[in-house]
Amino acid sequence: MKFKINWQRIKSDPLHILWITGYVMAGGFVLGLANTGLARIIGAATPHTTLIPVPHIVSGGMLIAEALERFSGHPIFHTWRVEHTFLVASIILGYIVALPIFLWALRERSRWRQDEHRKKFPVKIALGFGSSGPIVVFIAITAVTGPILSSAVLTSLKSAQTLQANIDALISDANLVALKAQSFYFVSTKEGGGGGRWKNIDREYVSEITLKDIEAESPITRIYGSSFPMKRSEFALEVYSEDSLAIWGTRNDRGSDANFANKNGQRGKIEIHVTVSPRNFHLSVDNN
Amino acid sequence: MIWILASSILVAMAFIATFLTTGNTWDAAIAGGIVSLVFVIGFLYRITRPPTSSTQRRWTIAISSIVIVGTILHWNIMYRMTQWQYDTLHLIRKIIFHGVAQGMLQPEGVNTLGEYAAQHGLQRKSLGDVFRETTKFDTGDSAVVVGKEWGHMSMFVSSLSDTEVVLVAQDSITIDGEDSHFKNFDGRYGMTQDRLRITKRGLEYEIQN
Repeated sequence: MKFKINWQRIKSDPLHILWITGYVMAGGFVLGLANTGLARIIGAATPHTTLIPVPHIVSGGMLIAEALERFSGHPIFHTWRVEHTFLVASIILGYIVALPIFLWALRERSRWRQDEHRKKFPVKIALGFGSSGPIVVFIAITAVTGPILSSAVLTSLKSAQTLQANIDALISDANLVALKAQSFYFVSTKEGGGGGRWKNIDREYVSEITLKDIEAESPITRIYGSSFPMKRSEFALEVYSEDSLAIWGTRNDRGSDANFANKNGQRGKIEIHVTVSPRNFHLSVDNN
Repeated sequence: MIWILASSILVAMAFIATFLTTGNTWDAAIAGGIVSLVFVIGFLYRITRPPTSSTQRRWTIAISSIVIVGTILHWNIMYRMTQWQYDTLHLIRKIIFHGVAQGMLQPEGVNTLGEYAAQHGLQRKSLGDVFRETTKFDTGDSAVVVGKEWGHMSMFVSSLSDTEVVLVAQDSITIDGEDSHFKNFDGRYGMTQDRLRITKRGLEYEIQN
């Protein structure tokens, strides 16, 4: 079968699909210019001042911007801003105005093409496609590709950020355990401490500091966030001398080295270790 | 035309009213989106009625359904994703705060306790006196409360006596989902706060909020 473009037919039909594609592309260009121009004119050109109908992406972006502000320690004020005006305008433009215009243009196109006595260029219909087409096409494309792409991003974000947050939390917990070990060192044996040593302690039962002494024998479960799946921090301790010990911390997340042998007998989990002296400690990440 | 105008006004009203009530952009966008959805469904119902041919009706309904379902899904995923990031950033901020607070308070506690424990003989100084000598806090001559600001973190000596020293580190961000009614050392509410208590029985570190 031979593919042949009938140029004569295309030239004689200003509402041919190729021309409509052109109107839509031209409309998209004009809409982009108008969007940028409007935001510049009113002096509010930010990534969130857009008339492109993606209110869910803009709302999400504004929430992240707020989170970053709060992360920097700035107070958050929930006041109406120009971004909100653009947001509500984009919802109206995208979901209320563009769709009826596009469907009207489609219907009129069909009528115009059936008309035997057509003479003039169908300006209104071309304008209808040009103004509403980019928006409708954009909505349709994001409706199909958006869920797939954003779902993949969400999965990857969850995985990476959970891991990082759990490493940070493990480091924080290990610092706390090291603090308790140092505290134990300086407390007299009469008060339940080591009396200046971690080994050869002058007491009846175990002569070394244990995890029980520093309340770290059970995994630490701390709720840092209401919806965040924080893992438990498990610790192991090894006393080297009277004033030197090491603490290993493990969380049940897979680290970068899958074959890494963890101190607690597991394999491939994230692990850090802290070398502690009475007044200092050094922390290093073994598997992250 | 009248329907478009009326729906536009309704969308704007739903958005503005929700935003003014909750102060939440996402809630407002969802309210506006729901009104839009009702309009779109009503509009599609209207244009697919006879005399529209059944073929056209089927195509319109099929394509519209895909777009509507896809858009709703996309909204849902974006909502979950951004809320997740919002929570995570806040979580990381909290963990960093607790880490920095520990890093600041730990040397104070260990040095004070270490110097206190190293004393021999009968002329032993009190814990408070040892703290005054070793600390980087400017405690002056009395057991007054002294604040120090490091970035967005304030540190205070909240109690200073012969037998006990209590240090407090307080951040300037409010914690959602935890105790927003927690009264902080400086009188504000709901900020992250850690406390280190030094006694001769050792150091007690507490994440208070």
